[in-house]
Amino acid sequence: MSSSVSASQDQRKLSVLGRFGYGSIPMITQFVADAAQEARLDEDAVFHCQMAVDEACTNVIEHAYGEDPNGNFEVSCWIERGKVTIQIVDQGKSFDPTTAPAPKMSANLDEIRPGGVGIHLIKKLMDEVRFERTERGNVLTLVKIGQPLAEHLVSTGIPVREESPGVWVVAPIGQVDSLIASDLDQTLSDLVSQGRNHLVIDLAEVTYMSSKGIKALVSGWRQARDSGGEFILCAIAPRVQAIIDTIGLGQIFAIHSTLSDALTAISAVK
Amino acid sequence: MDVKIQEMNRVDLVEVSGRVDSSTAADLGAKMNERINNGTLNIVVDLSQVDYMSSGGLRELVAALKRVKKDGGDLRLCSPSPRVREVLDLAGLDTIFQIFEEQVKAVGSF
Repeated sequence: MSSSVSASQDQRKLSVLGRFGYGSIPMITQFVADAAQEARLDEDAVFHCQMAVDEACTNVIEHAYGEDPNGNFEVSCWIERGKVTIQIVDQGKSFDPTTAPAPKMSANLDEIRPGGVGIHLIKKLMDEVRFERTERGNVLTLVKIGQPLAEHLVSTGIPVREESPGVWVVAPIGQVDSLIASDLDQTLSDLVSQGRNHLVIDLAEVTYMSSKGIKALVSGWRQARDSGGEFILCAIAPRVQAIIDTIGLGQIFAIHSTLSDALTAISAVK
Repeated sequence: MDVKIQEMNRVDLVEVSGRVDSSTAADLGAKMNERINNGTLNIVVDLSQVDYMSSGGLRELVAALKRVKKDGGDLRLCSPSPRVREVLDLAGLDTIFQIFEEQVKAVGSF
């Protein structure tokens, strides 16, 4: 088995490929669950993705490869906010599950045909199901769109706290990549639109900041300033400081070396 | 997946736990078949400890149901978790299986 990651601005693609039998399915569904979580799908949607992929892989092993546990296939996930697109590509016998007849469940025992339950479940669980036969092989594409997330302050997962009355500390953690950056952007504009515009951005736990992360900071700074608020950065790690300096933003932002300095400064302004 | 079978007065109680997926379902089917071959007519499958059931598991349940019904018996389910219940409903199996909330009610229904 091997895996790969490639990234563009707003979409990340993850793949696993190898020779998979039924025993590999839990590993593949875990891979898909991780991707769906990264796309910020709600818990039910994550489970639906796992279930659909389990059924789809079972179909590939059973029908495309005739139960041969050494069939080669690839599972890829494209991750966007609130949406995951899953593609399963195999080189086995062509089998279009989307045209399979629906299973028949009936009170009359002889009429029950449980075959096709898998694809029936896939169609019920996913928002979009497409099948194509291409030169790469059989390509099954599944799309799942999560529930719209209503409360961004809770759902983005960027820690926010009211440090003292009217002073809000926003403390992102780890790598502010393009997905986290859009969380940060959302969090900052939510705060300002709620009138919470005295903001301290504590970057002590940030190890990397992408260009989108910087853009989110600039946008938050502008919104806070325009609404008569204050926007202060503090505790910036040297590597992140270097990025901010390179872009020349050290001049724009008020920057303090520690959180307590920043809090003192912002209360003085208030 | 783990399967425990208890012989009771009028019914065999099949307690399943863990993941019932394409790699494990056949084992559940084989264990129920063994009982049916030995003359079991009535089966209660307790799903309370099943955290995941794919269509492979559903197929085994339907296959066993068809076998016992042919001889005048029945297979009834009890205590599915919300996740498993959702799968049963989506697959339309809620119309062909009697599903009970509690094991004691399922066993007592025979």
